[in-house]
Amino acid sequence: MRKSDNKIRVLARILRYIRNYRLQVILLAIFTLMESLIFVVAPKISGSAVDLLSNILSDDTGMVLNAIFEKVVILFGVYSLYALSSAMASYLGNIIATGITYNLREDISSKISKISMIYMDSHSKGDILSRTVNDVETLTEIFTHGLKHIISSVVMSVGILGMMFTISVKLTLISLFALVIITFITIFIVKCSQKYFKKYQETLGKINDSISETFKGHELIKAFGAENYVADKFRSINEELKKSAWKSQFISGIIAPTMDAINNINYIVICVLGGYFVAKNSMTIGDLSAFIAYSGQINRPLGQFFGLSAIVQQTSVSAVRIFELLDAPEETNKSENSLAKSDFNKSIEIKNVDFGYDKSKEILSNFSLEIPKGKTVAIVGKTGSGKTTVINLLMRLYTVKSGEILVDGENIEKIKLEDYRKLFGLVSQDVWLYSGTIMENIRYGNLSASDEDVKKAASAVGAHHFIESLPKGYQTEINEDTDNISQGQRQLISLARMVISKAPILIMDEATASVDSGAEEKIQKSLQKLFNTKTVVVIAHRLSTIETADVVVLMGDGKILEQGSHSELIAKRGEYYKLYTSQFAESVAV
Amino acid sequence: MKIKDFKKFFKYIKTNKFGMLWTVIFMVAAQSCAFAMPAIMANIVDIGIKRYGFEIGVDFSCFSHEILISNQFSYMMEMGAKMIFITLASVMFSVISRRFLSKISAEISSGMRSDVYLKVLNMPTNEVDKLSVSSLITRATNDIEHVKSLILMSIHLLMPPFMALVGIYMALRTCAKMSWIIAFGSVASVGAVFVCLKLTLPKMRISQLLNDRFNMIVRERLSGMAITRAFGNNEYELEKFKKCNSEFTDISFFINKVFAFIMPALSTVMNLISVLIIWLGAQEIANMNMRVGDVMAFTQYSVLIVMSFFMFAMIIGSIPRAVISANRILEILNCKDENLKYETANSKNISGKLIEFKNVCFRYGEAEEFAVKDINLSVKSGQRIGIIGPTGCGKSTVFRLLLGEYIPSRGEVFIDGVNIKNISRAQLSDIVGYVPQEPILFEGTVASNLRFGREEISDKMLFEALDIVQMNHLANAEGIEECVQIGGSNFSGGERQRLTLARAIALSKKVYILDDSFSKLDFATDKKLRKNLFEALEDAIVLLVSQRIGTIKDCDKIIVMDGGKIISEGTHEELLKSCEIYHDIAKLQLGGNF
Repeated sequence: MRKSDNKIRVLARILRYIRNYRLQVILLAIFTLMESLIFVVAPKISGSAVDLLSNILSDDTGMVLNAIFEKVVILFGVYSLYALSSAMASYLGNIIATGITYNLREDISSKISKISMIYMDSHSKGDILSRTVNDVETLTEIFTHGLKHIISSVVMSVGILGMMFTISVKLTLISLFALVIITFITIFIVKCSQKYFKKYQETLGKINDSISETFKGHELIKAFGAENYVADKFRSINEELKKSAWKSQFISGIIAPTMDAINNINYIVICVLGGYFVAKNSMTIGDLSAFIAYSGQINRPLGQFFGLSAIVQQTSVSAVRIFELLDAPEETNKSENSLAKSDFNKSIEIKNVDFGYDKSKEILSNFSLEIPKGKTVAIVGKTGSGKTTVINLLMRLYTVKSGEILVDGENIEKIKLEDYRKLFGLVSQDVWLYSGTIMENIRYGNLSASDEDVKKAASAVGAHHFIESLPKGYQTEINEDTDNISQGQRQLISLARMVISKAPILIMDEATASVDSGAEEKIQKSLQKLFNTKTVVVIAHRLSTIETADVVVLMGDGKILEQGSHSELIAKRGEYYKLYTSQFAESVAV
Repeated sequence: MKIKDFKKFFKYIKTNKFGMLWTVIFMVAAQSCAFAMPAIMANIVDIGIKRYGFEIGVDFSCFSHEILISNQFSYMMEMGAKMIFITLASVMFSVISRRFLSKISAEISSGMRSDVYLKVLNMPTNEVDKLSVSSLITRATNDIEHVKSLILMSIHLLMPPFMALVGIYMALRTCAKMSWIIAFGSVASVGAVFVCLKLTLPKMRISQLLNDRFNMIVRERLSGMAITRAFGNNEYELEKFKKCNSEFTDISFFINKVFAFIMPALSTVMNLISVLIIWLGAQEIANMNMRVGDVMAFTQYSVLIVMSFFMFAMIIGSIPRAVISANRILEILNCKDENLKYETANSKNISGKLIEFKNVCFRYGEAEEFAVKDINLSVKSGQRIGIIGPTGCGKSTVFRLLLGEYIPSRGEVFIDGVNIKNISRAQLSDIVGYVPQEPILFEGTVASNLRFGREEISDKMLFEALDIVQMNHLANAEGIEECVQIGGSNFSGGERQRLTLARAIALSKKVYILDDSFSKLDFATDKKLRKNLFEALEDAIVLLVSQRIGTIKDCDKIIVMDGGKIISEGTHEELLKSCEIYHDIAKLQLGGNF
């Protein structure tokens, strides 16, 4: 019940996209109709021309030749019209399909800007990417060819069958009988091959996994001398794949010749029986040649007609996946109150906040923390203690379940999201840079910044020198697998991006990954400078960061265990002291 | 691209030559049957239906009308039976040729896949890095399929010309005068294909680039979502997306537009031909040069011929794409194997008690600079050595030399006084245990990951190893059978790292190389683990490679590397005093009070 309901709703939504192309769809329908009708009528005309051919010798040759010439001219015109309408229909289908694809992609794009982080957590990025790319492409297919096919297969099936019946009922019934047999055989073969196809797809997935595993673990395999082990594993899958590949291909490969055979037999029967009718004068030879042409053509539209259900099935799966993405929950951004200033005066306060990413598991419970302006707050604690969650809530990437977060006493949910976020500059643990030049990446922090501003920001974090020493300087391209820039240098660029944004609050998730010592020194220096001028919330891993923070917050199980300055907490000899000595014990001892 | 370069692919043709031969033979047989049909049909029309029997010497006129019809009918039945027989033969031939075709198709791709896979497995690791893992994966999967179709195309390329030849012969036999129509049709359809390809091929290349770019933009937006929102750059991202989307849409529109006209163009050519044949055929019939059935047969032959030229052009048009793939695979197949020649196979039992580097220098391939230079090092059993230095200082080259992945360009590496050149990789991997920086797990079970092909490891040994790495909950009969998904995605980063450690220590070795292997562990676990681990490895040689001083400061000896050279060595305390760089790093990483 719900399912069919769903299908109708999906269809309605697809129609909404088509609505912008009403005129094109109508024209497409007209041209397709014309194309199909000509397709149906043309054999009859050429059949009558063939009839005339057989009269050439018996009747007045000159007159018959004139009549044939007339038919030829008509045929020529009709075929030209056919080519024109067929081309126009394809062209229009193309306009509609590319237009709808464009619109769908734009809608997804704007959705991605607003989508809630909770949705992102529960869906893999690969899945969303595949919805944006593959599913949209599948849907495009139905607009490029689907619309045309729907109209033409219906018109042609009905039209051709009608023509066949008018020529000869008996012969038509024979043809239909052959069609039924073909259909059953095809279904049978497809069913048989399905098993092998499934097997083939599965094994193909397996072999791709095996290949990528091996290539990724190349060095490890060599070190363990496990080449033969993995190669044996690969060989057995490869062998399995070979078997299922040839079986599935063979079985599906015999569909075409079998269909051809049945068609041919049908053709022969029609030729012989039809010939008998012609000889008995109950049919003209032109009608027979037309009928032969029709019976050869009926397969295509009928096949399309049957194939449509498979296409529709596939398309509706994709459509549902796309609309699911488009319907994903968005960030809550109800408030229209804009923040007058791009700064705050006193503090940001997290008050009695409860939060969990899913309902069953609470990450923060009754959590409170005050971040005074100009201070550095360092959050420390084990993995899973809720450090990152605090940052996520501060940035309003998620909404609190209960409790509130206040800026200068005002609930942040009353402030426009875009305005609120302008308060923050973020440096995440995994440095995110996009494909583009270093200049563009730094400017990302403040799109209106000039080249000079970018250079100033880079200088401020001590990145200017290394950037200038690159062969292309600020115009150096960064991409996914750039190896000319080290991890540490990437981090410097992300710091420069933060600096240029001029946001009053810096939120930072310190990288745990090893950074080479040269870059590390620079990072450390530039961080010190930032800590002195900004309000900073940092998930700290480096001892030097913790030591210079004004407030250290030790978290455990979603709660604050201890809070105070580094020296206070050490003096307290509590949990923090224990953690500190376990982490940095030796260094204290030296 | 020269033909010579493609010699490597001839192998796959050669090993499958009989299969290919049979495919072609049966394909030709099936096609010949198809060609016989229109001629028979012409006979049915002309002899069976029309009364032109006199032309072949059968005089029907002496029969009464009834007899005539029954005679005609039996003639048609005879022809019909002939056609059915030919049809069945044709199906049989097609099915047989299909069988061979699917077999060799599977054979070729699995053979090629296997060759590429084994080639990559034997490549030096730096080559793998150079070509990039993701690119190698596409080559071993997608590109292979493209090249396979290129090879199979060579079969299909044989068919259209053959069909054309037979078709032309048959058509000429019926009426040579009208053959120019066929020539016209063929040239026109081939011309249409080439114009279309000429227009679209360059655009297709751009379209591929835009497609990659589009994917990248979406991927980046998804991964950088938090940053984008933090900087309030949604508008900017929307603009960027829109620009790429428009360009991508425009180019696909153009390509589809061109292709929208090719099928109508082809059908126009076909229809034009049949109209021309009717008109010119009428003249020929009037001049008694042709019969009605001949005209019908001629039409069918013309269509077959023009279609085969069209197919031929389409196949040729798809070659450039496959050639790109072929080149990408050749790049792998032409890659040099590891240059590991064991000068004399060594039968001596090496116990791995002493490692020595003597003036070792190494450079990658034809590189001008040495990656490491003048490395001198001597380590005994029970010693723990830390190696520290910035990225690119040569740390990893040192341990790769010890893993036998590289052979020193100058100088020697000895294990127990035996030159490493004379120790086989199998022997080496018995001595040296390695834990990579990135924890890599394979699909299977915990047990299969820890054993990693070494069947001699008992369950008990696995339990012990799991105990040492603080994964006691898996150290039982069910635990080790737990599934490991692709890439170990069902384990956290820390767990993965511990499992890779367990893998290395499951079988006791004499030498261990730990490449920053504790980075993803939280500190409490880390400390306990390290204590257990180093107790277990007390008698072994342990090389700890790291960028963190905390990891290596307890080592018996620490080596500081920079620019491919050892710049200083000693204990932590000694280095703090003697090595300025070390002092600086320590100050940064450990804060003020080290």
